[in-house]
Parts: sequence; structure tokens; C-alpha cells
Amino acid sequence: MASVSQVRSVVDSVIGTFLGNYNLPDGSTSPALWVRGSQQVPNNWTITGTECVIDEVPEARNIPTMSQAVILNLFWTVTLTSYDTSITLDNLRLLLFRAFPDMDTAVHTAQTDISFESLKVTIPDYSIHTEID
Amino acid sequence: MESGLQPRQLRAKFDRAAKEALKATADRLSNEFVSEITTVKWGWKGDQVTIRSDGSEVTEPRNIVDSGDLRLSQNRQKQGKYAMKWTWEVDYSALVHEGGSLKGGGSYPARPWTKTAEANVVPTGYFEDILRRELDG
Repeated sequence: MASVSQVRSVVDSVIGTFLGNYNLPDGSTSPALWVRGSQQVPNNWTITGTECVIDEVPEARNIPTMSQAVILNLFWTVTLTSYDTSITLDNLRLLLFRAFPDMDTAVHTAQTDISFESLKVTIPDYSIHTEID
Repeated sequence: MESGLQPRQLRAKFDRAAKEALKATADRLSNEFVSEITTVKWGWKGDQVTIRSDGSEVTEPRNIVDSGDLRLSQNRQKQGKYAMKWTWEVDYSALVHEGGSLKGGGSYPARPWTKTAEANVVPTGYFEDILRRELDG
């Protein structure tokens, strides 16, 4: 079972060079890769290019077994949003599929008149534990 | 399952039962999708007021019905022997379901009605119950 830091590190290594920037009020910039949980992206930051947000807490599903084993499926949710209307997320989707071949969900929302293009993927993370009597 | 069936009859009986179970499960899910869209249960942006197309004002919780086009666009297609596919054929259905960032600033909350409907129905369990009932007669 991975930690969110590990997931962030792998995602960064796969698509980090394609991500845009957060522009901070003091004029500095930071890579647009965020772990969303206790802290949201501050309202006074602006974004250029593509943003990647990883949910800090993964979705968890249990697979009941007849044995003493507990098979837990965690799903890390990663959301990409392209704030540059000339850049599509196709290439990043392919890179994520290549880095996480067991990823089975990739919901692509095309750009509309009012909204930016986005891509939400869930990365599975399986673990097996023993039951507590 | 009833006794006295010949092996060649088993396959036909199972196919009939599976067909019935799939149809019943699909009907149940279709109704649940509509129910989730029309139920006043979804969060929005706190007290922010939206004026609907009929002139009414809503805050939260709210349903996902304004013009009704999304709900009416629900379409079900059989995909082979044991699979069904639902689509909502308006161009903003993905935005409503998944949420997104707006070009004018701010965000649009996700309202994943298919996930909540699936959680309510538990289609595999529902299918299993109907299949067992059909096979047991």
C-alpha cells in the first residue's frame, strides 16, 4: 500500500515536465501539482498550463473473502485540468496508462464553452491484510 | 433448481434466467439513475443562489434538474448478451457528473449520480438475487 507522497512522486516523475505552474501573489511560481486534502489550492494563486491534483485520501473498497484475509483495493484519484485551451490531455493520459498499466478508469471531460478540459483517473493499489479476531 | 432437467436443458434454463435477471437489474438501475437526478440531495456552493429556467431559486441541497434535458437524454443500450450501457446525450452531462473548472473562474461541483445509484442498488447483488429466484422457480 503506497502513501500519497509515493503516489505524488511517481506521478511527478511521469508527467511532471508537462505540468504548468501556480503563480503566487509574490510573483514566484510553483509546479502545478497539488495534493488535495486538508489544504486546498489558495484562492489567490492563478494557474497556467495543466494542473494535476491528487486526492490525499484514496477511495477504499473491500473484497469480502471466506478466509482470514482482507483484500483491500485503494483507488488514488488524480485529476488533470488543462487551463491552456490549446493543449489537450491525450498525451498525459497515455503516459499515465503506460506508467500504471492496471489503471482501468479514465474519465475525460472535453472542453466546453464554459469549462476547461479535464481528465480524472483512478490508480488502483491493492493490499492484503489479516483479519483481527 | 428443479430436478429432472437434462444437461441440454440446463443451458437454456440458465440463459432465460440470466436474461430475466439482467433486464430486472437494468430496469432497477434505470429508475435509480432518474431518482438520483431528481432527488433534492446534492450540495452546491453553500448559499449561492441559482435561478432555474422556470424562474425558481435554489441553493442547496438541490436536484440536478433545470431544463430536464439531461434526465430525458438517458439512453440504455444492450451490449451483447450480458451487458448494458447507459448514456446521457447532452454535451454537458460529463461536466455535471464529474465537475470541472470554469473558464469564467471558479469551479463546478461534481454530482456523480451514476455512482450513487450504483451504490444504492448494488447491481451484482440484485442480479444474483433475481437469478437465484429464476433458477429456483
